[in-house]
Amino acid sequence: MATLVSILLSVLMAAVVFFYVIVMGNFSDAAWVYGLFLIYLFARMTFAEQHNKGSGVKYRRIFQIVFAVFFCISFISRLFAERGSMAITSGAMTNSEIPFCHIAIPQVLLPFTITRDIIFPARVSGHYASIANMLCIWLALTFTIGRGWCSWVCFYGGWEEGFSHIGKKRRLNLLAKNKEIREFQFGFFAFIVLASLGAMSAVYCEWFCPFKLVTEFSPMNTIPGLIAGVIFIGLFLSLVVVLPILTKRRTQCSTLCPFGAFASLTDKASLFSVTIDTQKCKGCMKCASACPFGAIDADTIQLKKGRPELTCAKCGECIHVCSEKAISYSFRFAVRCKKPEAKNNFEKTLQLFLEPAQLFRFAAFSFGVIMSDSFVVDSLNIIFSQITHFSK
Amino acid sequence: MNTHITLHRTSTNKFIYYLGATLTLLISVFGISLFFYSSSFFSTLLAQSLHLHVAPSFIGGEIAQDFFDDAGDDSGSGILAYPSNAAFKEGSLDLVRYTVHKPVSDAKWQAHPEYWQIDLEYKSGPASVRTIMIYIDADGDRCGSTETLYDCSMNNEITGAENCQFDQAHPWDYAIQICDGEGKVYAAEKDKAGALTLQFICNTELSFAKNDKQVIIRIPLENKQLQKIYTAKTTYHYVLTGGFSKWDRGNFLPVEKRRTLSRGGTKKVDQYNPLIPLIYDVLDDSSDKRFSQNAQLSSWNKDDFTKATLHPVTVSMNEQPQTGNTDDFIAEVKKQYTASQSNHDVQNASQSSSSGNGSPFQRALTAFNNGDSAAAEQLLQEVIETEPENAEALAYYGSCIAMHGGKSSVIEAVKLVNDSFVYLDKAAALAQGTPQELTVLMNRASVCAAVPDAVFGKAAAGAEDFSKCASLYKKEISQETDTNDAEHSYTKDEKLFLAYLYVSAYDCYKTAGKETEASLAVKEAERIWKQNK
Repeated sequence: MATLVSILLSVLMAAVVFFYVIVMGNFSDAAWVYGLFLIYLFARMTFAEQHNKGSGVKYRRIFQIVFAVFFCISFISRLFAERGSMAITSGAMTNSEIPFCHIAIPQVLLPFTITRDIIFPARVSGHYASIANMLCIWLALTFTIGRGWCSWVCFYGGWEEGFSHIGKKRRLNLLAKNKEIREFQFGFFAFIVLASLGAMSAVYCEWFCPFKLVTEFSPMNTIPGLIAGVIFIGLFLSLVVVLPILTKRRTQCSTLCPFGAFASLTDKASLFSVTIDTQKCKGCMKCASACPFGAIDADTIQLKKGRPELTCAKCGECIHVCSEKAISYSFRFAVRCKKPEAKNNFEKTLQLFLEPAQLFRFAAFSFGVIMSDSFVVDSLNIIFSQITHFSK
Repeated sequence: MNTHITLHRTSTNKFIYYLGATLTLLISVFGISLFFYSSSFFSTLLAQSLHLHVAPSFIGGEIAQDFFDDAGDDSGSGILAYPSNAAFKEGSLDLVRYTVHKPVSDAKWQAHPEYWQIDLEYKSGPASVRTIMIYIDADGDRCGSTETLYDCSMNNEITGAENCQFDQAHPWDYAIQICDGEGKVYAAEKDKAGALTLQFICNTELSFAKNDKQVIIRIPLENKQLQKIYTAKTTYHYVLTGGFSKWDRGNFLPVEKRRTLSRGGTKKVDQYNPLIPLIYDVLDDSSDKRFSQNAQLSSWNKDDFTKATLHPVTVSMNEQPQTGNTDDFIAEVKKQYTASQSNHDVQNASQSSSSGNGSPFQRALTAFNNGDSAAAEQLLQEVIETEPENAEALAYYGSCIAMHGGKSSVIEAVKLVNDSFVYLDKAAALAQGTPQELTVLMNRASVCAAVPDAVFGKAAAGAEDFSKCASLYKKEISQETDTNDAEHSYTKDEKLFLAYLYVSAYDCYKTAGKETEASLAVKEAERIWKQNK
């Protein structure tokens, strides 16, 4: 029966992929390649999870890394096509053509509620990264996968995901500092929100965002521009490249990203959460060591909290390493309304269909598929055209 | 009793769990996909309900006033012709919109935190063929210059003249010269002796957008001489556009009796006069006929060698921009057009029932007009098999396939609409320059307007087709009556059809996010609608 459920979910995902990737990609070769890759990835993940709980996590990693790399290729090529460089031009600024990414959302919300102005020079609508579009996506993700966005969909997070899996051995252990790191992230988030309100400008985007190095940045022909350049290049190299390699953790996501902190705060509205069965837990701390977001530490286990800390991004790494199978996805509403015991075959079958882990993976992967389709297909088209060009 | 309560709680718990889990399943499996499929609807709804807009200081500041200049008036007083050089595209000197923003202070992310932005929009690019002069009376104090930048220059460093002078009541304080990819600001000020001097103040930030159609000028306001802009309640603007010439006076391209590759000319040889202003388009106040472009640019006097006198447009810097209520007008045009179409349909139905059999194409048209697209599709397929180059049949067949798509499943609909454009595009290519062109383009435009822009991105193309249809229809009428658009007075039906075409173009431009083009289309619809009323 479990196999049947896996097949059914894979077929449904294939339908989502077929429409959003292949049909919307106009049945191009690139769309077929990416579509088949996604169907394969989801089916492998679903069947792997069926055989060994948590083992599907590697397919999530592959997806996120692929999305991050191809997103940047596509985004940069669009910038070159539109303005001839990665630098923000005055024309792009005056025409509100700066793409609005999710990281800007927590910075613009408070000023918007007070002044009714969006403090970011992006298009309000009618653009692939318009303000209204991104706000809608944020609302949808808040009420479905919550902070699962960071580990399943975020096209920046994939860079850290990749770098954190380059080294085999952890050379720097930050486990003992998890609580302080979490506090720093929320403190920095508060600073960014207040600074944005004070300056009436998205301060993180202007000064700190390390991902400007792989997307777009202000021209460095003025002293402030140069200072901002030094800051974001330094942050990219340290927090996105070096520290993830040394710590095997997502250091930028868990220390600096304001959207990550914001999504943690709003995660209570989402449908899914991760729970720890304190009866089964033996306190081995493997989960704490594996968590790339520092959401589990000694206190979480010793105080038998029954769930990871606020910064959990539902990546499933802890589920994968837990030898006692004590950690699992669950429905958020089921914290108060416990999962009933299946008394007959019908209820057993029903519970298989309504398995929270399956549904969460389906929801998160659907999000990823739909967000990534045009970027990855674009990039593949660019790569294919280059290959054809050179082969001639 | 306790057992009963426990059982009741357990069954309630079970019900809530399964209900919640089922809802979660529906949201996870179907909800996310459906949300993204209708995301453009949700984002439009969100933008409208929250009144989302970007803080003005990021994007040029609040708009003080927005002017729309007539399209197609780029011949000076009606007598000038562009040089024959291919660099001059049709409409590249035709100013269609002039937007003055309020000055901005403490702007973020900008090269100059204090600036004043002015936008100009032309019918087409490139920008390299234009010389733009904007003369501004910033205070209305009658102190400044009434001569052009060239004429009032004392040291002849600036070489050029547009062959005109300015209203004595509004001498200019600032002149902004835009040409050769550069913008420069000059001020006309009186020195201690009371003599008028010309001073270079600064360069402007200059950028071009929308394929060179839009010119965005940002004037840095750090210079003290420019800061009276902050306190100005009303400013007066002379906006002049001429051809660019690097080697001629004031960078204005000369006008001669006959146009050549590198010189503009008069349309007829006997129209030439050395006093003709070298200005192809000037922003005029359309509400006052005394100051129309024609009147201003032909106000030179060859008897006493007086140059043409230009009059400014008044820009209120503090009031909210006034926007006309076009919604009622658009609704009225659509209502009347729909009513007239239903009358036609009734007539067609009675004619078709009486006419009986005709050629397959005739029968297909009858079926199409009667709304039986399935029968029309079948008949048209037969016509296309025998006449594969029949542009009208191809166009109607394309429309039928698109209509078929509208009744199909989502995936099939995408495929059918894509297929329909293959036929419509082929029909348009075949019909170019033939009498069928209007019908073919109407079909393609209607399909472009009907399909969702978020999926097919055809709204802009639809708008262009509707505009082209209007031009073709005007041409058709003028050929029949041997008059031009300005002279012709349209019948009620002609007016309605033309207004409908422009209103449809307006809708498509709006959908495509092309605000300027949309405003121009509705302005043209209003002009035709009000004609002879």
